[in-house]
Amino acid sequence: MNDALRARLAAREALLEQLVEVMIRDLDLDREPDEIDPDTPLFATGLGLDSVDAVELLVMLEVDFGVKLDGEAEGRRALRTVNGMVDLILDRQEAA
Amino acid sequence: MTETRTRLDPRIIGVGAVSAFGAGRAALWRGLAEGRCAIGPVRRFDTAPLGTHIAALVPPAVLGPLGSTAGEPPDKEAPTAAAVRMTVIAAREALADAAVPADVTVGLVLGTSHLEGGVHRLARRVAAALELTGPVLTVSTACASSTSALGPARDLLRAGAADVVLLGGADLLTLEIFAGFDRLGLLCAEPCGPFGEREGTTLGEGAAFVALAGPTQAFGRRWGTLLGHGTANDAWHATTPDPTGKGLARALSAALSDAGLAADDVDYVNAHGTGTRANDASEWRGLQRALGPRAEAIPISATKSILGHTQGAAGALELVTTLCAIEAGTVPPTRNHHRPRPHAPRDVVSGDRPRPHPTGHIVSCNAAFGGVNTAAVIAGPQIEPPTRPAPRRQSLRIAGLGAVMPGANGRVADLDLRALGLPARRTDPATGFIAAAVQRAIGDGEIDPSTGLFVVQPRLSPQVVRAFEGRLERGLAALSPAIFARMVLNAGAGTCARLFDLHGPTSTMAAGAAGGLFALVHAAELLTHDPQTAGMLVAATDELPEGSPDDDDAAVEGGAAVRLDRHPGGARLLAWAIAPPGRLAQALADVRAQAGPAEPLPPRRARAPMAPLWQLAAAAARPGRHIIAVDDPVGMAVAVIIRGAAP
Repeated sequence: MNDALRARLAAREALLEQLVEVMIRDLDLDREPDEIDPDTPLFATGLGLDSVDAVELLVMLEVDFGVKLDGEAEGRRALRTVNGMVDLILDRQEAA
Repeated sequence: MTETRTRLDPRIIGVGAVSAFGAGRAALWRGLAEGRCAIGPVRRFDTAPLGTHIAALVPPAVLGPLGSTAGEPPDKEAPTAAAVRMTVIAAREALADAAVPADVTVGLVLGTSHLEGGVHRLARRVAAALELTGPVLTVSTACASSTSALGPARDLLRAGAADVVLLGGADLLTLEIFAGFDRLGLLCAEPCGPFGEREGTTLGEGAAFVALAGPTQAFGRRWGTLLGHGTANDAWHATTPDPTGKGLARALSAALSDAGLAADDVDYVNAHGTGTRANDASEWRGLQRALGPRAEAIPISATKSILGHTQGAAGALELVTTLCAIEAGTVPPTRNHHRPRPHAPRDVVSGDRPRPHPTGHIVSCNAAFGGVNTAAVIAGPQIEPPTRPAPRRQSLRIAGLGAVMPGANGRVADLDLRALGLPARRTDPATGFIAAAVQRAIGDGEIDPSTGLFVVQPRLSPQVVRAFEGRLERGLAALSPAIFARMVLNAGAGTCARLFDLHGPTSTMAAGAAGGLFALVHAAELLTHDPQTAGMLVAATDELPEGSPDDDDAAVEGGAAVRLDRHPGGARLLAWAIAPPGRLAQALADVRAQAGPAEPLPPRRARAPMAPLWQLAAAAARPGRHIIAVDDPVGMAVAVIIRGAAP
């Protein structure tokens, strides 16, 4: 594994950790960080989030991660899982 | 009591207002009559990060120093000082208009969402400034606060606890409130035009009062008579009204039946009419449901298009506006209403100037976050109010009791909402306490959906306030709708209404020690006067902030709930009485006169509104008659007699 890739993975890991922490705080989730699987669906059967949470996630992405979602399709894709949101934030950071 | 008593319908004997047109009802009426609009650019705070830049603000000359002067740190006391200033001006004007003699006991019931600085500080400071000696109460149901407050104000007069009650509303517009509405997407970029093409509301601020008195007082002017009052909860959503309008229809139908009137008696409706798509559509459906074809035949106006949405002051300010217009033989206009939205009222009083219209009976409606709907029915000055017999007071069954008790340190240690089957997420401790107490009070029993809930809570949940401040530190963009919706005192009552399917009367009062017992009296009066409501729940709570001293043995948190209905048997509420603060002896004499001799239980030191209800719950399980009484020096004295029954 080269250094660039290792740094990238470390950055991704750090971002994931930060995102989960902010989610627990802002969404008032009664869970520990290690109880949130980044690939579990956020809504319905997975974490069980609702439409109020969806708005909270949009606010969190904008305020804490500087990411504003433009289209509904993009939002639906990114807000499926925690990893989906991490990918979106990384994409935006790279594009900037 | 064998003699037939006459029902007390409060006369409106004086009015006063501070609005974006300036201080005084004359300024308000002049602005209206000249066809002006009080909405303009916001200069008090920086709206640049937001999507809206207009509001109806009270002129700085009236409010005094407020907002940020360049280079100076914001004065944290300035908003409260400004709110006190405008509230005192409006209240004083109403008292002067009523020519209230100096030796008369005057009470104050204030509807507001301004709750900074502890238990109803705004009301207390206004009462102190005016040297009032009667009971003081704050009602806080967000944008319906001052219309909700009509019920408690009337009860104070009926109880003989005051000769005159100053009933009003006051709210200042702050950046936080402005930003919160903006983030909810509820604001209109241009001055709002309710029921018309322009969607969204425009915020405002102000203070307004009516002086209320019984018919026997010899002073005052003749502005009108409060004949009916009704409230109902949507039990639908935290911020969005029930689109079917059923909640508003229940509130208005209750108010009409309280007034002894039919839909065809209504001559004019002053609508809540915020201008938002959800409110206006739901409100019109509600008016159609309650008034039937009459809704299509009478003028309806929404003055938020002129004065902005003044939040907790809206009901009182709209009432004063309406009374001023009616005095001039007109009804107020709705500005910016050029083309109606689909499903809008047939006759919105459009245009810039008041329209000549003979008005006998007025309906005024307000609604709010937390599913609150309120309506008042008022007889105009031309109508001789009817003399009606007062309903006979019957004892009521204490049908259920619930408590969430603190430990020895005054704090609730372990309340597992999840184990109780109650939602735990986004449930602050205060809401959790009342939800768990209400759940216990309901027990396994069936609950009729006409049941209502009155909540007493001295302050916003400290946990919610902390979360809100944490968000603010991250910037205005972090004020999400969910956190903003929880910053209203009646959020907990709204949550409980949804959880337990309580569609009946609703109110939330901010009060200290006497609050819990007052809410019980308010519920008992409602059940005495309103046969449509099967039962009432009364809940009280307080949540201690983190780090408040443990050695203050009067500081407690927790919850209490009492369920009342008209069924026979069980423990019973036999008598109730209210007196001005410091005059507990008067309240005790009054309850003993109603229900015979009984000894008061030893008073508790606690300042919290649920403490007397805990005492009541313990006494209800012991056979015999017990007096529960409390005297709150900054509220009122209340006494009740119950008859206990072995469980």
